[in-house]
Amino acid sequence: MSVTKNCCGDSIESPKQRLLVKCCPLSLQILLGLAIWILVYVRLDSFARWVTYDLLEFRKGGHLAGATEFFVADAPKVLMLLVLITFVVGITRTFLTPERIRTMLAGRRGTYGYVLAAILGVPTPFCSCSAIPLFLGFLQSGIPLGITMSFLISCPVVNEVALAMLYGMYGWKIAGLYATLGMAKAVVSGMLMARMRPERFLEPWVAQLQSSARQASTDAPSVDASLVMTWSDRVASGTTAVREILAGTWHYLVGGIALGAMIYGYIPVAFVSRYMGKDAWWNVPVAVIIGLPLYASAVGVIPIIQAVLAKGAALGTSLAFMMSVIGISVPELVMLRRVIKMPLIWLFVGFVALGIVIVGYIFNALI
Amino acid sequence: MVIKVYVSCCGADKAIAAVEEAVKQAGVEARVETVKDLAEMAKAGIMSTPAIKIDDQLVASGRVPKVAELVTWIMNAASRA
Repeated sequence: MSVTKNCCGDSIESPKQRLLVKCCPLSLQILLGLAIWILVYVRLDSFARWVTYDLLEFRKGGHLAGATEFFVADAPKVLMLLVLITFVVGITRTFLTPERIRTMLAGRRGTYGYVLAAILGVPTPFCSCSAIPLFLGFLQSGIPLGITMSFLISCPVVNEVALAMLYGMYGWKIAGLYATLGMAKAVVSGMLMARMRPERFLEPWVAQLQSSARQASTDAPSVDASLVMTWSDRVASGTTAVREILAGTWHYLVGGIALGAMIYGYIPVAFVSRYMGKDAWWNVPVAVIIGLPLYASAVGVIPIIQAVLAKGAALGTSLAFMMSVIGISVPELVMLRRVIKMPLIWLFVGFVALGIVIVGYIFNALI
Repeated sequence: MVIKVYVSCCGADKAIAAVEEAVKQAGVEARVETVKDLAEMAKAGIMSTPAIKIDDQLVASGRVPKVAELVTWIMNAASRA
């Protein structure tokens, strides 16, 4: 029996997995894994050249050579970064339980509350099923709707996958800029939404929950001692997060890499730079409009984005497309509709989309 | 003993199955209730599902616990009662 999980990433560990974890000390396992990771990562480029030119003997500069080098070097590089980041974020999440985040945010007012919400939103999973109880829990403990919205917006907008890609291809400065812009956007959107009296768009029973909130805020359920996690539990949820992003989505991965390699090898630079380059000013909003209703796993989108980037697409445009594909999904909005009315959903989507467009333009202007 | 299982969409079947299996293994008299109502969930202070309460004590939140864990919690609750 293997490890099974659902869409929230909950896992039921089988006895077999426990045995695996017990084979040697946990710290040693992590060190070993990290060492292997670094060795492979450092060697990827030369390995790709070896495969392309020595093993397969492709002519330098040919279509096939380009595609193969991309296939065995660039795509795995970013995917490896993704694995590492997912692992770290998976462990971080065990510390940032919803209950703890609520305690940290409760009673915060003003700018500090918005900034904290935006920062906490980054490593928090935001799937359609976890969003609603979280949303209600926030409102119930008296956290203002604007701050809650900052949190909800920062989840899909600052994405660890995009971070991995930017770091792998452009270094930490660009990755840092992306994270900063994304969080700034979440803060500003939350503040603007708070001014629009968003409370009127709550479903009546939710609004009631919110107004009865303040006195009830202290009676959060007491947590049993057995809920406290050990380090091996935390590492296990890190590996679960990695397994979830890879195992559940391998078909996206294979399809994405194949499509990416094809684009890389066969689509002419002139075509890509004409429609997706910096000079076409209109392509950022168009990328977002196309991307929003689409949904694909990040591991599938990355190789495609990498390929178009290598062919001369503008970074901001490509990023905007990627963020809108992996950021918002329709099932998630359908779930949100159970607690908030349509105008607020449109506001939410609108602010997310507008933010992505702005981030896209800034990146196009800078790089 | 009353065991409440709070579920929203995913992990629901697994959580309920795990609780029922644990009750059987523990051999204790227990009523297993499934709570799907969002308002009730919010009032109970549940912020991530699936969540499990044994006699009003929250034992798991945001994950499906292992049956062995559940059995221990059920036995503990039974000995307290």
